Amino acid sequence: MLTTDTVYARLNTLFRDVLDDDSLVLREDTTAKDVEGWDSMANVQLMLGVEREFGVHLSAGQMQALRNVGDLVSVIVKGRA
Amino acid sequence: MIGNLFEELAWLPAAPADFKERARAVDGLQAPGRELRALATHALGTWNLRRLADAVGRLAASGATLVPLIPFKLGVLGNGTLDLIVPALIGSALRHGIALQCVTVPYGLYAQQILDPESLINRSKCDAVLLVLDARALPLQAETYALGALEMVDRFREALRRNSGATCIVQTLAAFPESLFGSADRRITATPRNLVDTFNRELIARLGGTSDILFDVAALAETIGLARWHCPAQWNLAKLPFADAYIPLYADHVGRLLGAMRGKSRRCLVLDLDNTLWGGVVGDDGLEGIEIAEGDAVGEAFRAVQRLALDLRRRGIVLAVSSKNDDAIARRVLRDHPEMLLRENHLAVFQANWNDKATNIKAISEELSLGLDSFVFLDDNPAERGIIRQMLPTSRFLNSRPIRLITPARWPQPVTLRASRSRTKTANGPSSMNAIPSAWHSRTASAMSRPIILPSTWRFTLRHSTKLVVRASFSSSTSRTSSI
Repeated sequence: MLTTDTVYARLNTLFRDVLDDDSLVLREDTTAKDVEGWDSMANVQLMLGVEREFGVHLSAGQMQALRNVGDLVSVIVKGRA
Repeated sequence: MIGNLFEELAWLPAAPADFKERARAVDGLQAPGRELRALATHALGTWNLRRLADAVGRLAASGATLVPLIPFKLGVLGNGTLDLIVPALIGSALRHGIALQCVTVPYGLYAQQILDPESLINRSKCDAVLLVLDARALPLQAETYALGALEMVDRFREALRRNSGATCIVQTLAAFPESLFGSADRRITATPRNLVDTFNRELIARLGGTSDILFDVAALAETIGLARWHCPAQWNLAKLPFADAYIPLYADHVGRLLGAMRGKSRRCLVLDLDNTLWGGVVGDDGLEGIEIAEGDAVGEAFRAVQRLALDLRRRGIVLAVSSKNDDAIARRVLRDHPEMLLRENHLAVFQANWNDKATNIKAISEELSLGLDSFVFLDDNPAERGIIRQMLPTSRFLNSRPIRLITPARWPQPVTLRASRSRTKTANGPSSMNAIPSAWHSRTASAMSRPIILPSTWRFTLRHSTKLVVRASFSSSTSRTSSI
């Protein structure tokens, strides 16, 4: 069972790699507007990165419904349940 | 396992733990070019390749020299999203001695850019332009029987040449795995499969005799498996032309092409003996004890290695042996063992001694007048490979453990025989060279007269031992045969 803490830890690493920002710390309410460099291309890389990192599949519909990092974490945990 | 090999570029050593720091620190170095190439010579994924591309960008902006890397300006045009591919191209080109600068254009405008003489791509005067066009961009219609698509590519090539003098690197098309009729797709002219086959066959013919370059993406995709190569979800998401997992592999293959265009192809395969060309250690097991027999699982694996070496020799690669062994004992195997395929006369250099590796490699380099960058080493012993890597951070290896997957060799293609004169031996070389294959002579002789670029696709894999074949749970990956 994947815990939310583990997910946040691994997401932080992924986001830091994609956005090239070692100081980034994700919170439940973090959105793309809050983070510099999180544009549509970065978003694509983040979604693909999440799929690879957690071994989950995110459908186009699921991706479009995400409002913040908290939603993403829920989807990951559910996908790995 | 096959998938992982190509996704992770498993024939390259793992990236060092301090990769990120070293990539950032290149700016302060006296010779950043060497460090960049050394860093690139690891199995790198998307983020690390991008870090290297960023480093190249920073150094280029500051006007720093990247010697001995060769600068190359590559236009990258295509119908899909290329943003993720470009940094990978730059990072991977370093591995092949190239300091790459990419010129790109806004999404969807590739046709206008090619045809307009005043466009960014044409004004940039690129050394080459890579056309990343897939089946979705080309008018592959049954009515025109792929002719429309072929003529479009011809027009593009002609326009780029006329407008900017750039060499075109043109891709074959990777067919989509979905079929309409099953096997009959190949026969029935209107099917997508048949159209792609026709296009690819005709494209290869049309490129022959020109100075444009064939990049056989179809072969690459087929090696991965068309079902894995294509990812409709990623195309729908962001117009990514193929699965992002294969971007590092794709970029490495482009790097090989660029390296070959600039004369960086490897020319000599240096073979170890024990547990590389045969099973066992001849010094301990004797002539009778080594495993090389036909029909024996382990023997067959090693025979496949020897066959591959001979195939490479036939295409002009020089073979050498360098082994920690008693000279007489080792030679005896090559002379007297009835089941050996490789013989002394196939080798330009035969070295069996107890000297240190560095001395030995330098001796081979001098004997053949080939720079240290020209070698690929096949050795089962990771410690030996480690020593050579220390000496030559950019050297290439094949891991020859027979009961594991044998990794594909990395001969950049096409082969450019436009070698520098000081490095290529002519037929009038010193008589101390042992039995240089005649193929090598004729190649170097012709290299001296004119540059030749052979747009041949080189792909081969080696046969596993049958032990692995039987155990493999993914039986589709069994029985890979070597092929030219």
